Amino acid sequence: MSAAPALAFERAPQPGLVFGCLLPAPWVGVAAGLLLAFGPPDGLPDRFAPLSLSLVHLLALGMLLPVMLGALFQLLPVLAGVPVPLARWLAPGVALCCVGTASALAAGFLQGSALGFRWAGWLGAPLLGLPALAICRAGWRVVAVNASTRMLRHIGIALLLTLLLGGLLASLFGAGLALPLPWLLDWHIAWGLGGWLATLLAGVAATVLPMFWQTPRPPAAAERLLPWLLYIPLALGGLEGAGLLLPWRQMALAGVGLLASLGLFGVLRAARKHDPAWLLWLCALLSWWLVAALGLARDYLPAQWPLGWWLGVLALVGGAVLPVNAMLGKIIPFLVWLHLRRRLPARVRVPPMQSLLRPVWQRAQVASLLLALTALLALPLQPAALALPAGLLFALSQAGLGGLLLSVGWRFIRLQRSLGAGAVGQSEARR
Amino acid sequence: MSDPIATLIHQHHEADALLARVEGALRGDDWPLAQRCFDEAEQSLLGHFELEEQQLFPAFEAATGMRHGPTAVMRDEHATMRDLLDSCRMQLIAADRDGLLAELDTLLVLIQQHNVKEENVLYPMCALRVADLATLLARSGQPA
Repeated sequence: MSAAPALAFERAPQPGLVFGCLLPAPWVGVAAGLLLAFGPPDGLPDRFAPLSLSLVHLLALGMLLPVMLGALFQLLPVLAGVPVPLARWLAPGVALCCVGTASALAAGFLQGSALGFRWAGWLGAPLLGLPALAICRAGWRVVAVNASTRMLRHIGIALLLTLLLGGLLASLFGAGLALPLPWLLDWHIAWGLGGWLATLLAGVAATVLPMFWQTPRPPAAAERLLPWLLYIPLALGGLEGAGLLLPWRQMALAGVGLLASLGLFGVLRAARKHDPAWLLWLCALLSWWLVAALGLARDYLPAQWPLGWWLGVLALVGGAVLPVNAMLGKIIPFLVWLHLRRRLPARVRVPPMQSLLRPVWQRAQVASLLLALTALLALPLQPAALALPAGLLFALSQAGLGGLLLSVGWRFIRLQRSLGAGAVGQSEARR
Repeated sequence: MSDPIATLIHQHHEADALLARVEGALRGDDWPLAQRCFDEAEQSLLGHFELEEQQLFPAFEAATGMRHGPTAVMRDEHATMRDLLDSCRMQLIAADRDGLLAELDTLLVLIQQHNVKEENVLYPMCALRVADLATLLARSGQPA
């Protein structure tokens, strides 16, 4: 067990390690957008269309997973005082491994070849299992006192299970076997979206929403819901494999709906609604709420509605890409500011975060992303015609974020040199 | 949570609300209101830092023997926030709206992460380890 947890940025890993996981993400988003724009639209908007499956894995595995692993490398030491074992060795390979595995899967789905699945199942999943194991190990030492630390303590299990089930499915495809059980696929998706994505985002939001947007802190009773509100139904889902049919899907969706409602309640009471990224959190929580509502009402909705596409877009783009964009636009300038402050002498003034990333540019990027989300949701109306503009809009929004973050990184390097040199010059002049 | 801790947390919320009002006033181009709220926020924050540095932290250090632990980190962060308050004051004097909003943004984020540390960790530890906290805080003229 660790000592009492505290926000301790001095325990955070080197910025290069975390940035290496975070900064490639928007460019993978650009690739996903271009794939939608120029890929084969046959079968869209069916969730099992080759392009849909490729895009899902590019986003979930290639774009979102490295960001979330990078965030955990930062949050575990900072929020819980527990460093991730071997983080300095694991972190540099995370983005490469995630993008490689996602690309192998995308190729497998698009070309229908077993080779991509074999690479993903036999090499990618085990390699990605290493950071997952390290996070499980670190989580074991976390003292759970609030929503964020409760999430940190248990989140590694969800990632490990998602990868295990995904690796199993990829291996089955790689061996040329058909999908054995729809239940196995459902369980993989449920652990990926609910156990991993939704739980991680809820735990992170409990700390970052009050910090950056001055929302009220979640009530203590609500904090205790994590992660069991979702983990219990998801664990019950395993019994379906043994033939025991329980309403675990509905229970998990109701849990997601409750978490989204609590989040919405907080976000609507934020003191800093004028911040450009606030809108992204609002739309993200609305997306999760819609996922729960549409998922629960599924049996009562017209069969011709493209629910699979909508649920995927709402969960992955609305529920995950939006808050990840919001966080990247906040946490990277904050970390840069903090590292500059720590590295430079106290008398040297560090420019404020907003001069590193100007709100007017961030607002434009937020608008482009919300436009892309709207276009993606509208795609089922005319899939062949709308795939191109929706894909291009998404690629453009992510290129915008990628460019902004690169400019922050560039300013970090320049400020470090110029302010550091200035500080040295000042101290030499005093001598 | 005992009363003195609730008072310290209330001081955090009070300063947060005042700084949010400064931001609101600047967005409405109401400089007199922004000036007034900033004066109050600055006074509230500096008074709170002083209370902690003069009364709470020494008592905690005496009770636990930890002189280079959480209180040292908190003192460093107070110094950074004092610098940021000075930067805000300079922008206020220069009547630079965007410059002031940018400094306030950084200050607010720093205050929030600082408050989380204090409220989640340091204050509960003080409540456990420092004897007669209410009298100690009242001694500096703060209600407890």
